[in-house]
Amino acid sequence: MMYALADCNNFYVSCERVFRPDLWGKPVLVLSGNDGCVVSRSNEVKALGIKMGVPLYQIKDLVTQHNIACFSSNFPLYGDLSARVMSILRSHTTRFEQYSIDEGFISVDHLPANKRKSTCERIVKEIYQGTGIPISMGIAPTKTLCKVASKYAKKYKGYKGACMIDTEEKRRKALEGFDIADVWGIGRSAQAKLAAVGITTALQFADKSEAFVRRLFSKPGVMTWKELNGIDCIDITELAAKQSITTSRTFAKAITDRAELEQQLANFCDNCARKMRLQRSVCDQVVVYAITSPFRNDIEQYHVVQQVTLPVPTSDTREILGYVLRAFRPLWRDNVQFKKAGIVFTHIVPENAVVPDLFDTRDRVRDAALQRTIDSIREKQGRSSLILGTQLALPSQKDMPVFKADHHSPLYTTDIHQVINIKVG
Amino acid sequence: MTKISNLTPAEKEGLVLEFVDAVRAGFPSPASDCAGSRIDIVRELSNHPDTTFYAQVNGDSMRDAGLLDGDLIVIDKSLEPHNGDFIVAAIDGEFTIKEFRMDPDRQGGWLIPHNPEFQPIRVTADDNFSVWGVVTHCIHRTRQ
Repeated sequence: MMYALADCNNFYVSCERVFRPDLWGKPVLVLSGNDGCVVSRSNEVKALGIKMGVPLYQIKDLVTQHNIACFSSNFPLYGDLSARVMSILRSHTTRFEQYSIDEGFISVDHLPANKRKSTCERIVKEIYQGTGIPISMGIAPTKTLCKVASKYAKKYKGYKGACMIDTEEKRRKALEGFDIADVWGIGRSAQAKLAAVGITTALQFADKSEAFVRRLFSKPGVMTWKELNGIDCIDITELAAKQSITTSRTFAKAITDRAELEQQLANFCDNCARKMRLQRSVCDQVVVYAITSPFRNDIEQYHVVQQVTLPVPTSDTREILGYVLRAFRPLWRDNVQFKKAGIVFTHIVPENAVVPDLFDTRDRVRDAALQRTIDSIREKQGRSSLILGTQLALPSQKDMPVFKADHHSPLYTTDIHQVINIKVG
Repeated sequence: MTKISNLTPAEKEGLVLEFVDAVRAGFPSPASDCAGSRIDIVRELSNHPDTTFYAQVNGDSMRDAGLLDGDLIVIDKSLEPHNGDFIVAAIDGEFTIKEFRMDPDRQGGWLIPHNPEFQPIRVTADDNFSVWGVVTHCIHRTRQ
């Protein structure tokens, strides 16, 4: 089995640049929707040492000094360009798996071995010309090695956008020069464990015995080790199911009132559950958190992080919110200034994969019918037309995020009134 | 609460009976065998939906070719520009629309306006110039 990974370069930034020739070759960054943190950086921004995830206010000076163009996330635009890229990619194969908004795997088994790299080079060109999005491709017998190869393709122009690891010699050479921290699936704690035993490159890790790896890591770590050694064992559909749905917000003014915070949590739950229903999934684990500002030494610090396990996987807003509030209320403390809160849904599975619980006490048929009715009314009348009592009202002015970076680019491809305006002088 | 977890339904999906077209009384429509799908103008305008983009014309330099101020143009980014094509070009960080004429030696070319008040623009490979896409259609609203 040989796979090819197509990985969009600096995807959100690239999307913004497609319609802005004045920003080609200039420093550009994209900020997260509500927190004002850096989520995508152009190479010029990376070269300035700006790290992923830093809040905008910490780099304000650099932004002014280097005239960095800052954008708020424009998801309708990124979603549309992603669909175009993935559709072109899909047209080249019968087996295609999208992994994230900017990454997709295809099978290249149908191509003769000596045509695989040149075909991928052509796909890179075709996608860039057709959509304006630069991508890099990595070809290898496992998905983890594809990731390694695509990083090489991204880094060195000589690969013409596609790097292939298809021999033992190439595999060893690629892993030798590859930082273990950049390996797919190696998180910060795994990295620390490996550093403690003197492992800093991917090759040092791959060359360890299986017994050694099993002592140090559980199943995912062992899988990464196998994949680095060319044994294909990661199933993308399984990985995608592990993903989570999150809604969180940093409040402009810290919240000290319980009803007000619960209102926020209700909105977050509603938002996550709506997304989950759209993708016809359900979940049975929810994390609710609320924290004080870590930048305030003068106030009492308090963090609520509570995991809630639901008895039956569901996507029903009312049911989930009920469990969330029941778990959250005992942890409430008066006089604490909550600055940020959020809801994370995990253990997400397709709704038709759920085994019914014999002792379930809820009338699920009736609940589902009610939820469908609510959804269809809201679709027609707007999202705030029908809400739960706890929600009171959907976010108003006072709930606006602190660093409201209003740098939204137009919806160039999804709204006819916002298409590119070309000066024909 | 006791939980029994090793019980699974024997069949996940039940048998589904499909509807067949309703059996009607009366005389059958003579057109039912000749049904075609209605003209879809969007499909006619974009051979490659994945690489088709829209833009609005702002200015007069292509007036005599029928690209008027305010018109909506259809751009296919996947096409290779040929001589005589109208292209969306990026020059020095700005988009423009012009007719494209390449030199026979392919070392440079001309961007030609369609309005006597404007001058052709000389472009070479060294310039900060690239072709963004080829204009395939222009949509002009005739009723104001």
